[in-house]
Amino acid sequence: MSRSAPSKVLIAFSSILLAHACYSAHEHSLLSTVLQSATPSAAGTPTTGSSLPLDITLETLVSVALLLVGIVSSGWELKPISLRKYAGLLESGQIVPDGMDAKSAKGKKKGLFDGLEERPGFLDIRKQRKEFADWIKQQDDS
Amino acid sequence: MSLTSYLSRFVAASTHPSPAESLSLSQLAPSILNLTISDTPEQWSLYESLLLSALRTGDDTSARLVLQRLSDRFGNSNARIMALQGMYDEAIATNHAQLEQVLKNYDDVIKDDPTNVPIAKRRITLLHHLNKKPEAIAALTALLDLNPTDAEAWAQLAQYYFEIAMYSQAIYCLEEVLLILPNAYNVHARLGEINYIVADSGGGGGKESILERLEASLRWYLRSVELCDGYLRGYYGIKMVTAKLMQTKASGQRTIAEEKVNKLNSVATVHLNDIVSGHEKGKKEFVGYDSVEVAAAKELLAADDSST
Repeated sequence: MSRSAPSKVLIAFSSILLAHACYSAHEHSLLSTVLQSATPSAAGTPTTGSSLPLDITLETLVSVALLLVGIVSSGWELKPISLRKYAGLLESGQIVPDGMDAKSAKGKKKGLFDGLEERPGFLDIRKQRKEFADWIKQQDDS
Repeated sequence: MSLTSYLSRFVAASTHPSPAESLSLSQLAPSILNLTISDTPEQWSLYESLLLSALRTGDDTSARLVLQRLSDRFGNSNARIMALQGMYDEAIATNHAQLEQVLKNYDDVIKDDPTNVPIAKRRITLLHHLNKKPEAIAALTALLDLNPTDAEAWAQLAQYYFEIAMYSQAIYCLEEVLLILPNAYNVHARLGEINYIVADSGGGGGKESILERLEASLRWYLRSVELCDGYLRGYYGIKMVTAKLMQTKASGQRTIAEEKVNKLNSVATVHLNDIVSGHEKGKKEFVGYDSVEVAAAKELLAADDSST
């Protein structure tokens, strides 16, 4: 998977931002619990530990959004969906159709519509048998 | 080796493998037959391919065993099994009388059930093999009356007509194939080839002139490369037809301008050169092409170079 340089930078930057937001949130919650235990007289006031300051929330949202943009735009190779492209890749043997592994497909190109020219329903088995017998005979002679 | 890797080898082979390939596939028979029967679709399609390659190489004992297992599983009255059984009978028949007997069996089956398409196709193939070409064509047209959306049958009919030089009928049949599968780029290329052959053999006696045939051929080839990027067969055809068109002195009205033909010729040359040189250098994008086809393209290019 090849990634373009700007999206790499974007992904790195937003990851750091996200990590920073997490760290700040952790610190903030730690700080508020410490403050609460230090001043037991304020136990009656509503706890602020569960609500984060606005800047940390914003930082989290922005970093996630940027990370998403960075990943989507990182330009991985898309599968060919136009017939022209797909058929061309098949014909030049760059991709192999389903149900075949690369090793056994090597050197045997497969078109999309080969069935129309091979026509398995009309297989002339006697002709092929004769061809094979002739070939064997030839092998034995040489 | 596992079942899927065996299957992959059989799928990779075409229905017309080279003798050496048939032999190596057929030699897999004992190990495949020793696998435990798992009753999956892959297993049975592997058995079907194995049966064909065993019959091709004359390994009748394995073929018998595979067929036995298939018919134990699916029953003797399954249309596909009946066709395989018929193919086995055809293959092991030693004389003409036995083949006639097989043909008679097919006739009986068709009489009982005219919609048994696999058997109908076997019967047509056998008729053709016994050199009863008119009967084969008549039976095939009857089958197509019954089932006009069978692209394989239309393509086969085109081949039969082509063999007896009834080119316009062959072209008609291939156009029917295109009505069913409009994206079949190899059929487009085939139409280009047939039109070229007609032009080459003097217009085929039809009302179209040689020029019109060549232009039709060029159009079919162009469509085939439009449908398939880097289609070697298509570019080969374009190069061949445009060279012919440039030689032909105008007899009749040209509908494709001469400069356009020249341009197409050079475009095809560029593409063929790319493919040939890329294939020779072993570039990743080009190694998958068929070596024989690339060699033919190279020959065409060399002939073109020497003539100019």
